Amino acid sequence: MKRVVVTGVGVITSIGEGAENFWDACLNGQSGISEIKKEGLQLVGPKFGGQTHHFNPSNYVQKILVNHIGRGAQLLIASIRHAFEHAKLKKEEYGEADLFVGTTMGEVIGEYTHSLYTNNQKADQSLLELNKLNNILVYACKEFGLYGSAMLISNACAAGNYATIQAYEKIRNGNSKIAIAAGTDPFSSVAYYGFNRLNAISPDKCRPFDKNRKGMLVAEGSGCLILEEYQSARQRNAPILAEMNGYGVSADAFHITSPHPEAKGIISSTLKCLHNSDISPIDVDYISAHGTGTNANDKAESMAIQKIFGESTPVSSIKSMLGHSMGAASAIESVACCLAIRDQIVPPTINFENKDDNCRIDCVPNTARELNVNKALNNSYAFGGTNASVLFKKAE
Amino acid sequence: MDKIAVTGVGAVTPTGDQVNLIIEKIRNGQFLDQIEIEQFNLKDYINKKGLRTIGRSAKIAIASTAIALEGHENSQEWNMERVGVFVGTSLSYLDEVYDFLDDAANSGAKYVSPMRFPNTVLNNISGWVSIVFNIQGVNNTLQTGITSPFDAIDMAKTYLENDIIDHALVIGVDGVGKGSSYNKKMLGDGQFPEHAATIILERENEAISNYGYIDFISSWQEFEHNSNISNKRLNTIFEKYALSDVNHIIFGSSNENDAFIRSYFEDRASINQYKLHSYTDDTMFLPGMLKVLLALEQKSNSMIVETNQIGNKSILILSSEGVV
Repeated sequence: MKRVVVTGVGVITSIGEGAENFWDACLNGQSGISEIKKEGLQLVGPKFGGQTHHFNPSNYVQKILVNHIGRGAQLLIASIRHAFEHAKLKKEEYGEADLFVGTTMGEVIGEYTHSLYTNNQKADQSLLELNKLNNILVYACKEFGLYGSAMLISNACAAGNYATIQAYEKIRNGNSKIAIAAGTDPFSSVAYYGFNRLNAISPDKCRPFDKNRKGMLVAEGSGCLILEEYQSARQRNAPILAEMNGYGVSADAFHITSPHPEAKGIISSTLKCLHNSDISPIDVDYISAHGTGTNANDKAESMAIQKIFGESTPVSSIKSMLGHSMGAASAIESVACCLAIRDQIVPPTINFENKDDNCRIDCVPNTARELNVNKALNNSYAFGGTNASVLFKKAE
Repeated sequence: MDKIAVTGVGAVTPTGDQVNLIIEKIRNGQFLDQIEIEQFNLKDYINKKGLRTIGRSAKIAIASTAIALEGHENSQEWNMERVGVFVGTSLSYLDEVYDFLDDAANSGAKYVSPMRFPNTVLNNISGWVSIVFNIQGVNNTLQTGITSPFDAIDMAKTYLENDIIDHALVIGVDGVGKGSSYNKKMLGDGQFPEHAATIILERENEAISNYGYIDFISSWQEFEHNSNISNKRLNTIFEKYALSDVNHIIFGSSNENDAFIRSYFEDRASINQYKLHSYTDDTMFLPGMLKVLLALEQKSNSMIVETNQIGNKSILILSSEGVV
């Protein structure tokens, strides 16, 4: 089996674009939460979300494409472009790369075409084409001239980690030298209405693991990791941020929206990840939590962490700063893990004020912490009860 | 590495839910006679409460999976933590999104039914299959248009080969509803018959009996027509895989790629070994997972080439010669 390393990362988030801007904001505990602005959206309660208001797709996407593609593809292309630059990869080196993309809601074009359908109107053909979600992949391939395999994995809020797992296996098994793992989701009205109706949205801030947490905040964004076969990366003198060590997956088989109350699936995916990575819980230096800020998630996740790791392993949720960018979230959180390993510092969980007896973990409250980070675990859990954990380590 | 065997099959279509009869109708050109599955009742397939409000595609996926499991020899003995579900689907999510937004428009977005929202999330189908059949290994949904079922097979094969799971339920599904129908009508795209087809995959050493093997699967992108990428890709594939071992080719996606695929294989010296059946020569309207069932039924070595106009290409080689 081949060794798999991460040689570049890219993000578009509500707190910054590109790895270094994002990471500076993250370590400074900057909040990307602002008043929601979206055409056609009815504000039905909470007014705040994590939108990428400053994102200008023209900075990233070629002229011929930029106005014909959806926001999901624009965000994806931008994060891939950042990641290629970060990995110092040239066009002639990445054409054959495979592309794995995770998403929760896709292009959300259905929100626009639905009103045309309701009013018995004809929709523009190019708009309807965007409902074919594989266009997200195709536009990214067109933009960069990629001709390897491409998969769109729609595993809700764990989709980014599943995309990373698929990219990892492709390289580990010797079927690819370079694979792009990414997650993307534009701000979705359907997600906003739906989570609001499930009473899962906070009226103001996202406070993961806090006793007074009131829910998550819907966000948008994209995250991308360039995975390469170790020897191949060495040969081209690529920067190596971290090595991917293993993963674990599970399904709750319990409820379509709620985690298992005893965290059965979460515990299973974490233990499988440790086993697959051939390490013990004590070897893990940092955990990037799913940490949505909802009562059910944070309680179940804390229970699982306590049971496996005890109470002292540092755990943080960057969703406290970014909001929940759905299918992009776990890809962005993997980016944070790789940068934590590179810089030996972990990001905080902001907005933390009151300890919760149901969440007895060290959530790195409010301030980033310098730390020896040799191994970092990234957890993600999703609707449908699908769970995925991935583990990164310092590349020796 | 163990070969990956197909050890169970199930399907629900407008022309029935018995795989052999469905294949017969495909061969007779009767498959497109109906688009919707009439009088479908999930209770005919599984006795479980709480499924009334789930989406149409999830319901028919559960039904085809129930059929596949019922026909499997030892699924009752499986360790469910080592079972995975992999769903390939295309536009069916739009039906649930349109239903949700109808509800939001009628009741007000603040009061939309909380039961409907989970159906709009793209992975609800694999989520429901996992819940109904207590599948705890992994659940995945793939959305790569008409090549989705092949990506689902590819992903399941990866998890099996790397010993993450022992048994995989792979489902190709697309229901018919207002969202998908409106889109297809406006785009002038043909309408797939509503369908769900499930295959069970296991490593050869776990398989008691089987329908055939997944010998090879690969996919690629060709975002510009005639850019020579497919030609190079197929050449690379057939450097590794002996084309002369293939007896049947199932291709034809009613798009610009068909002529290239035909000429590529006609140009090869071994072309006489292929049988381009009339009923498989234009297969745009035959969903991918039903093509897999058709290939297994050939009792020989079959290759399926699936393409779409926007760039996704897949090739799958199955062998079923001599299997019972």
